[in-house]
This record gives sequence, C-alpha cells and structure tokens, in this order.
Amino acid sequence: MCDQTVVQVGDTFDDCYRSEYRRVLALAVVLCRDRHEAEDLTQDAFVALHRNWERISGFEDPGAWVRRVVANRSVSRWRRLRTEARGLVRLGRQEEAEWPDPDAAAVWSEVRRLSVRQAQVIALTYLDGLAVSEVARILAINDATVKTHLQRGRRALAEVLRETDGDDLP
Amino acid sequence: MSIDVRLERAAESVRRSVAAVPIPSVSRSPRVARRRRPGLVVAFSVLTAVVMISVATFALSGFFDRDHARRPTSSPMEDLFPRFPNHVGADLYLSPREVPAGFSTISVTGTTADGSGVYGSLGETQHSQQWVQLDASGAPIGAFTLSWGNNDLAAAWKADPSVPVTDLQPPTGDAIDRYRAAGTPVTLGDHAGYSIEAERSVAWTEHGDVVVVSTGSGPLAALDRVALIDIARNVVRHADGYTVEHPPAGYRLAAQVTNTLSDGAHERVLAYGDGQGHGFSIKLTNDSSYPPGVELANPDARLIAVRGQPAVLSPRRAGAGCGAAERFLCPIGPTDPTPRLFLQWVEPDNTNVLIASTGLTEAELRALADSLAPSTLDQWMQLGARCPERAASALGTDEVSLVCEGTTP
Repeated sequence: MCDQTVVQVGDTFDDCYRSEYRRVLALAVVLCRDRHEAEDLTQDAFVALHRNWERISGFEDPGAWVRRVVANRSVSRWRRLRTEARGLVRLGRQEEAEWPDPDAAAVWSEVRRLSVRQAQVIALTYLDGLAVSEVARILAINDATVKTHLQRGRRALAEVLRETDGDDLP
Repeated sequence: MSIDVRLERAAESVRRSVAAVPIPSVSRSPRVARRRRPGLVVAFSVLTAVVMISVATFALSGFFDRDHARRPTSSPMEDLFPRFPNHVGADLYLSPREVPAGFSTISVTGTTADGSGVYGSLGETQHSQQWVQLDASGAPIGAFTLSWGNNDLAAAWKADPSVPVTDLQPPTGDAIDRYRAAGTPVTLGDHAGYSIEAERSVAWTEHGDVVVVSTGSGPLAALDRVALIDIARNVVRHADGYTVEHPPAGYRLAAQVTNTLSDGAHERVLAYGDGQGHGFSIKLTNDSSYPPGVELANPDARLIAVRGQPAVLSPRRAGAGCGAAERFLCPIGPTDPTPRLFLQWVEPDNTNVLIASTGLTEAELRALADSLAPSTLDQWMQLGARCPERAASALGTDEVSLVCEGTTP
C-alpha cells in the first residue's frame, strides 16, 4: 500500500496512484456490480485522495484511506447514476459489462448480497490479503468486529454456494 | 472445495482481470482531463455524423432559412411532469401504511450529503431534452432528444465541473466536425448543418453551440429524417438553451437534464425484504436532477399516477443496482427470473421518490406507493430498530451513515 512507510520524501500522489490503481480497482470491481461503475468509483476515490493528498499523506495511510473511500462509496447507490445515466437519454441504455469468469462472478455476486460490512471485510481480506488488523484500520472498526463479519460472511457464502466453511481466518 | 479456496480463486480471477487494465496517467493540473468512455466518444461521433447528414438535408430542403437566434424566446411547452421549486424545510419521510405480506424492514439508511458532485457526461453536449409520445396506456411509442452544448470541445472540456485524475488531454476541434466528416451537408439558412441517416440525427451549430436532434436507432425511433428536419426547424433558442417550439403531434417534454446528474440530496432509504431474496426499497431525496421522465426513453416504461403525481413505472431504472440498501436487486445467478419493478415520482416539495422492488407485482407496488404516508425520522428509526441486525458503527464516511443495517436473508 502507498502508506506512510512506503511513500518516501519526494514521492508523490502519482507514485501512490500508479502503485495502487489496479488493486483499488479490483476492490471496486467486486463491490460494484458494473465494471464501468467500478472504474468510475476508483477514479473518483483517487480524485478525492488527490484533493486531500497533503493532509492524508502527512497524517494518514493513503492506501487505507482510498480503500475506505471505495468501500464506503460503493454503498451509495447514486454512484451508479454517474455510469448508467451517461448516454441514456440520447442513445439508450448501456448494458453492463460481463464478467470473464462465471464462477468468480457468481461468488462476488453472492458477496454483494451479504451485509455491507461482511462484503467489505471479505473483499479486503481476500483481494488484498490483508490481516484482520489492517482491514479493521481501513474500515475504522475493531478487530473483533472484523472477525465477526468475516466469519458470518463466510458462513453465509458457504451455505449459499454449497461449500464448506473451515472457519479458519486467513 | 472450501469457501476459503473458492474466495481465493475468485479473488485471483479479479486480480487477473484488472492486471491488464491500463493505468491512466495522472495529470498534475487541478482540473485535469476527464476519462471519456470510448463508447461515449463513439456515440458522440455517431451523433455528430447524424447531425452532419441532417444539415445537408436541411440545406436541400431550405428548412433552416430561419435564423434561430432571431427567434423569439421559447414559450414553455406542456411538460409531462410538473416542475417544483427546490425543497425547503425539514426532510420528508414517507412510510408505508401497508406492507406486502411477508416483508419486513431490513435496513434504514440516511445521509445529509448534498448529493452534489455526481457528474454524468452526456458526451459533447451538456444539455438534453427527452421528448416522448405515449400511447393510451402511458407507454412510450416514440421518442427523440434535443441536445446542445459548446461546439468548442476544449471549452466544453474546461467547463466540466469534475476534477478528474486521469489523463486524457482536452479534445481539440469542434463538436460539429464529426458530423461534417460523416454526415450529409445541408444548408440551414445561416447555419451549416449535417445529417446522419444511420443515426437518425441532425446537427448544426449556432451561437457557438452544437445542437443535435436525434431519435437514435432504438425501438422508439418512430420519426423519420423528414420529421427530424421538421423538428430542427422548430428548435428555438432562449436564455437557458434550446427547446422545440412546435413538437410533432403527440410528443411532449418528459425530461430535461444536464451533464450534472444527481439522485438528490439527503438520500434516505427504507428497505424491506421477505427472506427469500426479494425486497423493496423506498428512497427519498431532495432536489434530484434525475427526473423520472428520463425512464420514458425506455419502451417498457409507463406513465402512471401515484399520490396525485405523474410517475414512471419501469422494469428497469438507470442507477438501480444491488447496492447496500438494495441487495435484493442483485440477480440470483445469471438467469434470475425475478422481475424487477421501479416506480419514481416527485412530491410537491420536490422530494424525489424511487421505489425499487423485486418480487412485487405491479398491483402490489402501486398499492405500496399509494399507502405511503408522511412520517418522521424517529418513526423511521423505530422501523430500523426492528432490523434483524443492527450495525453499531457508522460507515465512517462523510457521505453515508448507516442508521441500521439488516442482513438480506
């Protein structure tokens, strides 16, 4: 992550942006239904980071911050307006992008059906391989809450996807 | 296979899928280029071409002999939807007096965000009117749009209120260029215009603007080129833009939007579920710039009346997805047959109401809408207290605060 320990003196927003863009996009992709929406969300999160770069790079963890923005903004339904409204009036509705991997699509579709927190925790845990404490820091919740959401989310997914849940926290 | 392995594989799939995504370069300018979708660029190109063709037609027909700039200011046309002044005072809360059997509260969310900053580009035009013709049932049977914006693409770009990070350089040239290149030139009085038959569009420039009349090529493209030209002849310029002074018989203005779209301020959502993956949400926002009439551009939408206001009933709705408050909208597999129904209208205090549903019949949805009664935040909170699961903390953002969250069974 482009956190304070990585961003050196002289490193810039650009460095953070380039190192984190795809990983943050991945998070947005799984939390949003639509790929274009995810791209917009990712860019907007980095816009927000850009605007607040001086403050965030000095006092916070930019990587965690931008992930928190993506996680939280993915909740807001108006986000989709930005994507789907474009061209709607003049040219008709744009169909959403297809997932290349049907199985992954099914898994993430079910993840999005979990509670917000469960979906966020699972996405951050599995996509970025973050530890419980790191997920907790990003979402501004405590470790125990992360564990609870992770366990409940995994259990719910196992049930709906007909898989077993070893209940081992990664 | 364990769920852990399944999730790891799904995560790896996503990582692979984004690995090839080019990282847009970053501009250091505080107002940088906005990412433009290739599709939109193509769409705009198509429209431009259409305009060019139309202009040629106009030239031949002499339709544009009139100087649009000298026309009198447009008189307001009869809109399908009333226009209310901006919301003032306390937020409106509406609660259903009757909830379909089997449904219970699953979430109550609210925000005090102003809803600004939601920008949706219409392409190279910044304003658009949606005109529709409805049949006796209220279903659209024809539609066209009148769009306009700064013909100078670079100027339009700079006027974009967004501050994107990505790097595309400001475009060069004029919006009419594409129409000029691909369309048929027509003489339009003092204005040079173009028509693109394949796009059913006509475009011209006047007073520094590019103006486009188009039906697109969808199922509601009921007007032919001659009709479009006739519409173009009736386009008048006024202080706030352009409009059609004498639309074709039966056509009425359904919506007028700009490229700054927002669902509105103070978004508050009350959601219900039935435990079977079905549910509905009632979303209230103030001063939405996304009017319900936009959906009448879809042939499967229908104009009805709800609570004394014109409303749009549609199986689809732009912006509706399986977000946090509407997880019931998530399709259950790729062939999920559960019908979706959306109902949107505007209350006289300019509160936009959008009900999104799965598993409800039209009759149930309409009954639900008609049963809505003014409520209070406290009453909403009480409904939230019934949620099967409550989130102790807010989401940690200045945009959304989760009052109550329930799980979608």
